[in-house]
Amino acid sequence: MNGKNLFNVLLAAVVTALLTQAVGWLGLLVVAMLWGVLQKDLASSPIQAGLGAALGWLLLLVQNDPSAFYSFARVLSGALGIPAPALVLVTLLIPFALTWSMTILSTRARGWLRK
Amino acid sequence: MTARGRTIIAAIVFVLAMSFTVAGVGRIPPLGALLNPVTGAWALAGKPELPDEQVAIPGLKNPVKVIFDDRAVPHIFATTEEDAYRALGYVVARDRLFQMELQSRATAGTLTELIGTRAFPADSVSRALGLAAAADRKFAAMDKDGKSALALDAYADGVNAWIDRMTARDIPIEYRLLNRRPSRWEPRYTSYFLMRMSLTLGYNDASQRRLRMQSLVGAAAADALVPVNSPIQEPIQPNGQSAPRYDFRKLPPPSAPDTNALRVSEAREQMLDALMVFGHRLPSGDGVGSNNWAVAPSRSLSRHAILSGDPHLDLTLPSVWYEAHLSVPGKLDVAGVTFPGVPGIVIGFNRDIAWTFTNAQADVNDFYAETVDDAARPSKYLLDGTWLPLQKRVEKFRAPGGNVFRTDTTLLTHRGPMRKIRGRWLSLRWTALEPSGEMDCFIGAMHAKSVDEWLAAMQSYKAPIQNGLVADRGGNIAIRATGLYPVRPGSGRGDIFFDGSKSASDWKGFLPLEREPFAKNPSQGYLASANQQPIDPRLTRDYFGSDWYSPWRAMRINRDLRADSAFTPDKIRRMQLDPGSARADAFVPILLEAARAEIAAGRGDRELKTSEKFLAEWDRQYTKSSRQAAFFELVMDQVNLRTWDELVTPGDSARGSPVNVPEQSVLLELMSDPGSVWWDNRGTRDIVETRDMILAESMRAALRQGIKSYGDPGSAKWEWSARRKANIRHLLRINSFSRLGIPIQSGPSTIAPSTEDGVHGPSWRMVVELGPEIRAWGVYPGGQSGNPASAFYADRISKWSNGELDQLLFPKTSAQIPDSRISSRLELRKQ
Repeated sequence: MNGKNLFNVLLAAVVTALLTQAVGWLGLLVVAMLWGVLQKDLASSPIQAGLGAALGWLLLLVQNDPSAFYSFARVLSGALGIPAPALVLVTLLIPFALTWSMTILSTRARGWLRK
Repeated sequence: MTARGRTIIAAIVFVLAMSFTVAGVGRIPPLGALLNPVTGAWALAGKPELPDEQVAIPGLKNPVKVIFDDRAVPHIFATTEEDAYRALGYVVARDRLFQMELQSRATAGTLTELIGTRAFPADSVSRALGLAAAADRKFAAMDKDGKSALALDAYADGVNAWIDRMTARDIPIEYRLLNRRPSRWEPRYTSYFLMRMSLTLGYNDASQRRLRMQSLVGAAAADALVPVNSPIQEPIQPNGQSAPRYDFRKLPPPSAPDTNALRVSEAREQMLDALMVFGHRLPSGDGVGSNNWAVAPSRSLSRHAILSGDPHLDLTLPSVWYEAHLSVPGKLDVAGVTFPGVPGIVIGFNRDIAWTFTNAQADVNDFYAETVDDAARPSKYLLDGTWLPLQKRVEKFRAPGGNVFRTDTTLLTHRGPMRKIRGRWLSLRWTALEPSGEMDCFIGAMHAKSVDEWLAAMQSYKAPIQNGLVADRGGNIAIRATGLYPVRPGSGRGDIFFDGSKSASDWKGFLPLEREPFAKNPSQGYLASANQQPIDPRLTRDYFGSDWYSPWRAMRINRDLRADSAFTPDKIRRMQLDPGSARADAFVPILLEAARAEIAAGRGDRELKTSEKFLAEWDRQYTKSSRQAAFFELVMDQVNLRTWDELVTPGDSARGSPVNVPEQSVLLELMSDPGSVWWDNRGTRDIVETRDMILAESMRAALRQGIKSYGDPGSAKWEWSARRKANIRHLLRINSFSRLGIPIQSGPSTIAPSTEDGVHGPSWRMVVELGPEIRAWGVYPGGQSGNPASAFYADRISKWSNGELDQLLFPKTSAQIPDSRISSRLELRKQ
């Protein structure tokens, strides 16, 4: 990953964190649409947006007290009947999947609109 | 991959991700809201623990200061009582909102609306009994300008103020998992909770056990096996004796099975099963029980009265109790524990008195066989030759979405709800459904300044009947088993089956207060109760119940109290976790005597000698390291199995064990008659067994079973800590929110009895010394917070399991709380 890509991922992470604070998980869709519309690198921008969104959520999860997060992960995963690592993975997979797919769809929509 | 293919894959991923995020799958709630790191379940992990806050809430007359100490106990300083209750509602809701709603819904029979249709059986029971309808009647009958109604209103205001102020990140985890939102709190829900406690504590029906045994061994034998009076007399109301009295008689021999009684019994058993909440029966007598005792100044080292409270209930997380202190200068200054949902302290102390309760185990419900006009669709029932209309109550059960998924009709006679079981219509009368005003009593009790004032405040208390123990700074101690005791026709007994077609079967009234079990300042210098028979039957002819728990705990407590005149709070604390057992003291010598007699008679094989030696080494203490405690319990299981073979239902070869066994005090009674025909095993035609043969064989079998299950008797698997553990389950039975497998000291019939499943036990332990300044200690198994991510969720369990108590802060002013012990400050202001 080159410096520009890394910057884009970090930017997406920050924007995701801010938008999630503001409007909840719907912020992921906003990030994806922004990336889909604004980014020109069609090959890498969906991945950047997805990774950035997942990173944004990870930062929000551990921002207060990482140890409390890790111990609560065991408790919460037990309630849902899945292992703790799987729960963390699912928590990060959601922003990745939503943002990655929505970015691709936004990019396609942009193309259709241009035509 | 082509752009088109990539788009198709993205579309599929998007649809799948959105469906999980927005709608959830099966029981999994929508993941977007659940896993959102800012406002979802994860937010609970990062939620600040008891932040300093200033909050404006509606209805408040003056500002209220709430200081949370280092145990997360709120000390509420208000200028009016209503403001104090309002603040209590606010802080309890902040900590226990889901628990409060779950409890009120359990009474209302609307759990299905919160947790889904799987809760239908529990709701069905609540609706069939008419719990909410009765609670609504009690609430409607309250004086709307009276102290209780005002307290309920203020408390509800406080709860709703929290609900209104709550942000998304404050929503309890359970609501998130269920994808529900909290409902608003209504003042009547306090009545619902008190009704729930009546179902938990005031629903005792020995007549079923008696009928079942009558069907197998005849009426005379059943009367002896399920006796009205305990064979061991160690009553709550002192009887002038300085030791237990053994009223042992020879048990009448079993007679031929009574098939009619068997049929009736099976029908009633099915009804009782239907009435059990969550399919959970209370465990048998030796595993459950609350205790309370108080010593007068003459028996304490400091020459001040000391009171001990040790109520046992189901162990849950969060706990059934919540600790609080309410201070209103010149009016109220009280601390202790409250039930979430109840405005006030239920067990605790003020500046002058301390009080606590145990359950009275009284017989307060009866069943009536009704004659109806149409067995399939009855509309009338017969009473004294006249057909009377049945009342109908239509019950609609709703799923979480609000749609009605089932409609039932409850029929009612003038006695109460009626149900059809195996072709028979049975109605129920139960004191909990009668008009009553328990809240007035609790409010009055908190304000009492002496034992006499407390007794006066509690005299109109109805249900569930409680052994209320109180002590004051003047050195007075008193106990009274207060509540509604039905007066029945005929013999007065309630452990029988009533004919519903006659009004003569109905209750004649209720026992007057002056005939309730009572004692004040007895010459013995102490008072104690442990769910045993309250009055020596030689002193009264009144019927209070039957089939009483064996008084092992009372015997142990009274033995200790009689033996000491220099009690300290710490000695009292140690008593609460006493691993000794009056039951073991009673049975072990007989078992050893039987084994030695068999050995002396030449029937002593290696197994019996090993068993005898192993048991003889026991100090009869249920300590965590004891191996013999586990062996003794195996032996007693075998003794019950082999002795009561007459109580195995004919044809029940699959189970092969008695469906009901008599209380252990009856077994001890039988042990005093070594040649009784009850010892003979009906399955062995060529041998007539004696007591010693049965006991010896039980010891052999127990040793074989123990070795098979736990290995060599030297193995750690025999240790009591490996055999008996406390299991403190979350209210929704979520294991990761529970604390399971906690090793404990104590066993069946010890002062802190434990059950095999470990879900029942000491729910709050308290010791109060009533000197010039009140000093109090306490602990419950859990923590103040209902949030599983909180440090205060289960922080007290370790101390609880070790038998330790925390000293309870009881400051007169907020300034008296040292800064080092303050967790946070909450200021409530007028909105």
